[in-house]
Amino acid sequence: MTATPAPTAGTTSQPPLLALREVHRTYGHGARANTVLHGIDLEVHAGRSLGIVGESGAGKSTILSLLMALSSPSAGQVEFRGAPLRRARASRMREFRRSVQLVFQDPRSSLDPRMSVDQILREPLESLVVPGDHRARVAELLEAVGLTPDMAARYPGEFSGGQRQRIAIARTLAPSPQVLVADEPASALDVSVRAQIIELLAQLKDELGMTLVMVSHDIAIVGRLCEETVILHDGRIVEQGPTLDVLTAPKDPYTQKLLAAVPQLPG
Amino acid sequence: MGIEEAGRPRLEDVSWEVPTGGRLGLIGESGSGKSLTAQAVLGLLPEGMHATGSITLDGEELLGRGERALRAVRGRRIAMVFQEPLTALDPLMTVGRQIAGPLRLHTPLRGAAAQRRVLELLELVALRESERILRSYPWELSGGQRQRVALAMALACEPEVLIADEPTTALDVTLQDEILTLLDAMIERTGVTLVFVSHDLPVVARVAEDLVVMRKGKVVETGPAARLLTSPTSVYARSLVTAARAVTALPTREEKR
Repeated sequence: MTATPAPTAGTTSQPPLLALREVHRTYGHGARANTVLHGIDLEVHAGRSLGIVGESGAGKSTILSLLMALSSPSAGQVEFRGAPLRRARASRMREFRRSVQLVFQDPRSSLDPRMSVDQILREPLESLVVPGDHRARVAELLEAVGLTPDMAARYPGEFSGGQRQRIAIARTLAPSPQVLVADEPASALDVSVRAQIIELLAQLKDELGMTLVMVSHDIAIVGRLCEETVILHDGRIVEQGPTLDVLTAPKDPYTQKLLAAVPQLPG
Repeated sequence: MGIEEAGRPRLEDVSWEVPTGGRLGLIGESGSGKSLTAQAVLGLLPEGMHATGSITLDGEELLGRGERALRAVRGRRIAMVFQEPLTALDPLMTVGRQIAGPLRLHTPLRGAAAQRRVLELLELVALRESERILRSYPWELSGGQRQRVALAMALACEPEVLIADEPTTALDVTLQDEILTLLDAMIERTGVTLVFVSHDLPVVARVAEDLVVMRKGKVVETGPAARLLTSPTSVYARSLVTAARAVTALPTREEKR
């Protein structure tokens, strides 16, 4: 999977799809204040999928909620297509919600068991006011994730874990987003199913030109799917750059430790 | 060995042996029956299930023994550690009292002698600041420290066999690395026989000498880890190894250029 050479941050005329500028995030006040992000700077460019790698407590979930505009930074700025994202402006928020979609870790808890697959896939089409023939779109979405249109009448409980994650991914594709933000999208799955979901995400990149933002503890999955990598440790970026550079020639001691700790099969 | 639930088989014809001091890895995905196998060895199957066939420890039959007889084996001759130490540790008891628990139950050690053994165990699992750790409650410790405490408890009575069921699955990768290194050193020092249950092939590859691959309640392949991980013969083991390679391989310069 070789990505088409995309313009790098310095040379592009297009603003980044998403960016964090000098972002700080503090929870609580006064003596109890706990700062979990210290001056985070990162950019997501079209066609350059970004992996944000860190362990427990690194600040991954906080970055995720900022990138999805589910919370606001204590200082600094979140930008969408070059302009600050403020939650008050409804039309721009709708554009943002269509363009940037979130894939959750565990499809067991992210799909409503009482809704049919058809209802699950129609919901974002309706709530985000996506024009067009919704019935045809549902069939198209199921095919895009390797399922069949006849599955639309069934309920999440009738599917395996891997199929449910495909349904969850189909739902995120409904409004034709440009960016999928994925929160450990494969770690709740068995290894053989995990490999298939990784394959599916790679295919969405190639065929739909999707840009991924993967927030993960799993450095191998980021190595497989992302062109750019950020290593997060204790709320700070300790290293960032093209994935191949970061993973094959890590400069920061923490990155080196993290890479050395990944168990590998012999041979 | 087999396991039945309401007359229906859950596990069929599961056979393996570990030599004294050996290291066996039980590998499988969800629903393979790997954890049930471990629970059967400990006589801890869920309500409504029962094991058939034979389970022997040092040649003695364990199946069909009463609860009393099993209790003399469990914790003393066969000890265990689980995935999430927080559920295995009592939240209302200090770590010091918990580690001393199995000593009180299974050994004549009391008072200062028991205290010495507890400190020895903390040293064995490389827990520093022993005074503070002993006074702490489980929730005051980090995930890695808790798993070390669980290991110390498991090894308290110098068991012959240690069953570890996904002991590092809940941990971050750098902590996992530390615990696996520790486990390795502990096995070297104590000579305990290891049965390591996991879904994670690269993790098992680090600790096990022999592997049993399970799927849907049956054994699909057994053999030395070095052989099985490089040239598996069964279709399923081959697909498992291929998938594991695909999801854990890190990129290299040569590959991309």
